[in-house]
Amino acid sequence: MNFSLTFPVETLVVVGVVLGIYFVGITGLGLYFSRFSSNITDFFFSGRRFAWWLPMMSMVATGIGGYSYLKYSEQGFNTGMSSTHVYFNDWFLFPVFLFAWLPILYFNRIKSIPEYFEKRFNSVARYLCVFIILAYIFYYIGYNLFTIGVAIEGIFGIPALISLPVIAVLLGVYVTLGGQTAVIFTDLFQGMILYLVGFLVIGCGLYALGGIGEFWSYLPIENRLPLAPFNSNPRYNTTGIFWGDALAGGIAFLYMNQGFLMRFMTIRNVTHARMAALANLMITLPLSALVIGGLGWVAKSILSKQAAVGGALSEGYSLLTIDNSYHTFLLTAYHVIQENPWIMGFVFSALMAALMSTVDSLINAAAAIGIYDIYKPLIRPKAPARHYLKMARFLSLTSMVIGLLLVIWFYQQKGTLMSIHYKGIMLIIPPVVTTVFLGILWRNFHAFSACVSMLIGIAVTFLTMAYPQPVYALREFLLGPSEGDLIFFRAPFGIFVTALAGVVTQSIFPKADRLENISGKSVFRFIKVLAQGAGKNVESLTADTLKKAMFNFKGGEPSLKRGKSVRNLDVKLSSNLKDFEMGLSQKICDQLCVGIGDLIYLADQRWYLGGIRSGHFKLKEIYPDDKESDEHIIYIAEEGHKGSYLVSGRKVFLDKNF
Amino acid sequence: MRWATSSLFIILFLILLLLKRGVHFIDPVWMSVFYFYGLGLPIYIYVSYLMVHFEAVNWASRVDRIWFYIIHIGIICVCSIHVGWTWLALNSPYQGGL
Repeated sequence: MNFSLTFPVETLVVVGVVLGIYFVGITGLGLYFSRFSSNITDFFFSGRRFAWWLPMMSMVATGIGGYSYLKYSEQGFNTGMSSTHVYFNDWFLFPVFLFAWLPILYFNRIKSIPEYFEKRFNSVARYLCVFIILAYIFYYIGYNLFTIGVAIEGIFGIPALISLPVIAVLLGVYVTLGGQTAVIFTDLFQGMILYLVGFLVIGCGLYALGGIGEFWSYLPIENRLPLAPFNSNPRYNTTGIFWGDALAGGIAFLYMNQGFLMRFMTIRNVTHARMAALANLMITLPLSALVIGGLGWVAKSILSKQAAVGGALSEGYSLLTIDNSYHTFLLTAYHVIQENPWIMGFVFSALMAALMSTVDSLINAAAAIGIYDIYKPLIRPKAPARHYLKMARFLSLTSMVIGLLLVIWFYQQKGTLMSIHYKGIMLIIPPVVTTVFLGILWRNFHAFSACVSMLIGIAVTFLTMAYPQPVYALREFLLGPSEGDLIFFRAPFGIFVTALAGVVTQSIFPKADRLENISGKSVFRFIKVLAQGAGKNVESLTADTLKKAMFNFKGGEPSLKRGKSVRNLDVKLSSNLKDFEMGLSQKICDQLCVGIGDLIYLADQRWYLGGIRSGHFKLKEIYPDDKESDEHIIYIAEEGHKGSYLVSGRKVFLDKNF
Repeated sequence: MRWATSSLFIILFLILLLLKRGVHFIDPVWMSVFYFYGLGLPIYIYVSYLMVHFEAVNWASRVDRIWFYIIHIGIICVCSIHVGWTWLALNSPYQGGL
C-alpha cells in the first residue's frame, strides 16, 4: 500500500507544534494521577471506587482505536452509513453480560479472565486462556501502533521506525507510573477530544455541503442504508457481520477484552457497572460510530455534489479528490476545514488521542495478566505490595515493547486495514469466548471438557489457515455461494468447533471427577492433568449461583433491603477500628438500612470527582444516639481514611452496598 | 426443561436459517434487516429466558426487574431505528451526480 500524502511544509510545522503540546499535556495529566496508585489494586482497578459515568466516558476513548478514524471513514466512504453496523450489534448477548458475567466478575473479585478460568475450571484452562488473551491484547497493541505509524509516515514522511518508539516512550511513561487511574482520567479527557474533533469536522463538512438536507439528498441511496449489503459484497456483508462481528467479535470485546473489563472492575458496585454498560451500548457506541465513520459519508456526498455541479462546492473550497480511500479521513478533514493548519493539528491530536487511549488500556491489561496470572502465582507468590507495584510497572513497559516489535510483522502483511485486523482476531478469539459462555451457562460443564474443547478449538481454527475448505463450506451455508476473503467466517467456525468439542466431551465424560484419579502412563497422565479440579464446587461462578457469589463477597447473608444515601457527614478517626471498618450512629444506620457486617460505600461529596476519593467499608460498630452531633459524624480507622484518599475537613456521603 | 427448551431453540434457529437462505423474493436491502434481526432476536429472547430461568434476574428485586425491562426497550428501539432508517433511505430522493 502507498501511504504517502502531500501537505504544505508550513501546515506540517503547525501540526507538529500542536501535536507536541498535546503529547506533553496528556503525559503531564497522566503523571498527576499517578499519586492515586499506592498498591496493585489501585494500579489495576483504581480501588474499585468510581461512579459509573467516569469509566463509561473513558470507554469512549478505549473503544475508538488509533485505526478507527482511518478504517471506519474508509468504510463509510466505500459502503456508506452501514459503517455503523458493527457498533450497533452488541445487543443479542447483552442480557448475559448484564445479569451474569458482570456480577460473577464483581462478586468473585476476579482480577483477570484467566483467573476466572482457574476458579471455574483448573490451571491448565487458565494458562490456555492466558496464552490466547495475551495474543489478543498484543495483536491489538501492534495493530494500533501500525495504523498510526503509517499515518505519520504518510503525512510527515517520518519512518514508523523512528516515530513509534517516541510515541511508545511517552505512552509508557504515564501508564507505567500512573496505572489504571491515570489511564481512566487521561482517557476521559481524550474521549472528549475525540468527540469534539469528530463532530467539528463533520459539522464543517455539513456546512460545506449546505446543511443536512443537502448532505442526505446527495448521498447515493446505497450509501444511506444502516446495514451492510446482504451478501453481494464478500468483504463487507450483513451475514458476515452477524456471525463474525456481532456473535464472535462482539462477544470477545464484552467478555474477554481484559482492558475493557478492567474498566467495569473499577466501578463501585454492580448497579453502577450495569449503568455504565447500558450507557455505553445505548449512547456512546452509536455516537462513536457516527464520529468515526461520519466523515466518510460526508466525503461521498461531497464527491456526488461536485459531480452534479461540475466543480468545487463553493468559493473557499478546493476540489476534493480521494485516490486512496485509506486517507479519506485526513483528506476530507483537511478539505472541509478549508486547509486551516491549526485545526488540522487539532485533528491529528485526536488521531493520537485515539491511539494512546486504546493502547494505554491494553498495556495496563497485559500487565494485570502478567502480575495476577504469571508473576504472582508462578514466580513470587509472597512478596511485599511495593514489589508487585514495581513489577507491574516493569510489565507495562514490556507489553509496550512487544507491541512495538509486532509492528514489524504488520508491515509485512498485505490487504485492507479491515482484512489485516480480522485476519488475526478471528483466529484468536473462538476458544476463549466459547468456553466463557459454556462456563457461565452450564454448571456441569467441567474442567476436562473445557480444556479439551479449547485445545481442539485452537488446533482446528489454526489448521484452517492451511486447509480452509471447512470454512468455505460454513460460509456457503450461512452466506450462499461467494468468492473472496474468509475474514468473517473463521471465528464462527472456531466457535462451532469449540462448542461441539465441549458438548461431545461432556456427553462422553459427564462425571469427569473419575478422570482425576486415573492412573497409567503418558496419555492417561495427560488426561489426568486436564481433568484436575473437574469435580470441584463451582458455586458462585455460574449464572445460576449468583446468590452464593454475593454471600461469599460479603462474608455473610446479603442485605437487600434498600436504604437512602446519607449526605453532609463529617469523618472522625477512631483507634478502636482498623483497616476499612466503620462506626456509625443508630440514626444513620436506620436511614441507610444497615446492620453490623453490612458493606457501605463512603465517598467525598463532590460529585465531579467521580469517586476518586472514596472507599468500601464494613460496619463494625453502632453507637447509640446520645448526642445530636453524632448524627453527622462517622468513624473510620486511619488506614481506611488514607486508603480512600479522603481530604480532611471535606464532607462525605454514605451509600449502602448490600 | 432447560435442555428441552435449548434443543427446541437450536432446531427453530436452524429452520429459520434455512428458510432465510431460501428466500429470494425479498429485496436484498430488506433481507439484511430480516437476516440480522430474524436471527439475532431469537438469540436475545433465548438468553433472556436463560437469565430468568437461572434466577440471575432476581424477580424479587425491583432494581433487577427495571434493568430487565430497560434492555428490552433498548433492543426494540435499535431494531425500530434500523427499520425506519432503511425505509427513509429507500424513499427519499437522490439528486447527486455520481
